[in-house]
Amino acid sequence: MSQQDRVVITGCGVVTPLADEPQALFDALCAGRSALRPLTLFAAAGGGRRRAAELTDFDPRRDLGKVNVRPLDRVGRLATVAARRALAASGWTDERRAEHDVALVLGTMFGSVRTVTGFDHRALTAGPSYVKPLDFANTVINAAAGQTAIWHGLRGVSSTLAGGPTAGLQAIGYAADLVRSGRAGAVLAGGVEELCAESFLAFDRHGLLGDAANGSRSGPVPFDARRAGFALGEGAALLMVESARLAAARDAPVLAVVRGHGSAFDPRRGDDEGSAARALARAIAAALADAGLEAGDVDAVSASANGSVSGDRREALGLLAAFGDGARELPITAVKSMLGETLGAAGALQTLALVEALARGVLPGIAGLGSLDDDLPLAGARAASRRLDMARGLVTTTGFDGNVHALIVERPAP
Amino acid sequence: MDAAEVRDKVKEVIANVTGIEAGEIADEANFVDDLGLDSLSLLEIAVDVDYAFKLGLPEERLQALRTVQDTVDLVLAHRVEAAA
Repeated sequence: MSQQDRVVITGCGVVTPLADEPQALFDALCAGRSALRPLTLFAAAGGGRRRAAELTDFDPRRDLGKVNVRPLDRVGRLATVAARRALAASGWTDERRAEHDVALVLGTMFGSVRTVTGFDHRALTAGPSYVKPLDFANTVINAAAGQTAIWHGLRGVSSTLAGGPTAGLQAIGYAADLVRSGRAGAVLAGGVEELCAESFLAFDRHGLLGDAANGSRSGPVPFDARRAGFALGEGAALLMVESARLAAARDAPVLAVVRGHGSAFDPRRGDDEGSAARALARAIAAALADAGLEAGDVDAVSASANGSVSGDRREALGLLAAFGDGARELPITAVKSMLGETLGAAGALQTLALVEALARGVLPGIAGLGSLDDDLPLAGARAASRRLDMARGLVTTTGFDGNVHALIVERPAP
Repeated sequence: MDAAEVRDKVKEVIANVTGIEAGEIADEANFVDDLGLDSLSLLEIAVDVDYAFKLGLPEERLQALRTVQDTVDLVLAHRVEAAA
């Protein structure tokens, strides 16, 4: 593939509890700052000791102006604001968008499940005649993508990908395919997820949230031998994925190159550890083949690990299966130690953290990491951030449903 | 509830749907021309007004609403009809 045919990333927009823009977010991650705080958005069993990475002061009007945001629910607002920031960061101004289509691929796990619940609640309590028309418009899975495209006048393909915690990364891979095939020149790609009672209560009832088991600890610790579960988070991240040719034509700075990606599914849904590990290894092998690279070309991993007892173990086994002995020293970060499990947004947040890491030559540590499981020899997973010269990084995401996705980004040539 | 109270309540409903402060909504404001509302927002206002005043009105009467004053008049007329 010639340089001109490459797929590049030219800007990112984020909404997170830690920071409103990628550089500040990366600084926070390198400093080991946690987004976890006492839950205030809704009531949950355990009261004040429950913790989540919640956005407590998100006001879409700061970005969108003094306009009516009632047609957008919280998910739509998060996506629309992240898109505004990504468009600004990548130089896709209103004028440029009037001349050239921009597409959108948005990943999400639950979409607007809270709006759906509210819609049903109103029908049951007030009566079917009094359901909210504006809420109805947001009960579909692609509501946030549609609202974002309407708001910013995006005229290209508008897609929504549902794939649990892999959705945000799959969105970037799908966007890269759209660009490579010539179906799109510029694609906003990433993911969004809101913190809501519906998902929190469900994960809590399944015993997957770490603070229920171990409230005194500061947060989830991916890959740690003492890990007890994950913490939920929320946010949105969108990356401008475009052809190198288009980026060069408009003199846009290139933050990273998307080299390749790969998907796999574990039909055993995790009840067979070996099957789960092999699925991740297949996705990584597919990403390497797509990129024309070998395992030894990967300098660092931005892992999906979130503190889950079984999920982190499967991911570690998958990395060992994919990289063999090379996995033992492979530098690994896991930003969910600080951002919580942001589900549909997670893969995009992992990617932009890694893009920033390649550019700065610093890999964020895994906040709170003490000791690893004895049989998971990943010595490259460390608590402290470190200086590291990295040309290429791998992002891995693993879902609850069996979906796994891997994507490789590369530092642009100077 | 007198006309002024009905008007205040109607403006409160509109404010919840539009995000516009109730105090900034003129008595004569047209939903489309002055407040810039789309069809879904108009429908939402009709549903919320119907619910707030327990009107139980047929769809076509609610859909005919064009202004704040229309809405206040409809509520007041319904209350007279209901009392008769």
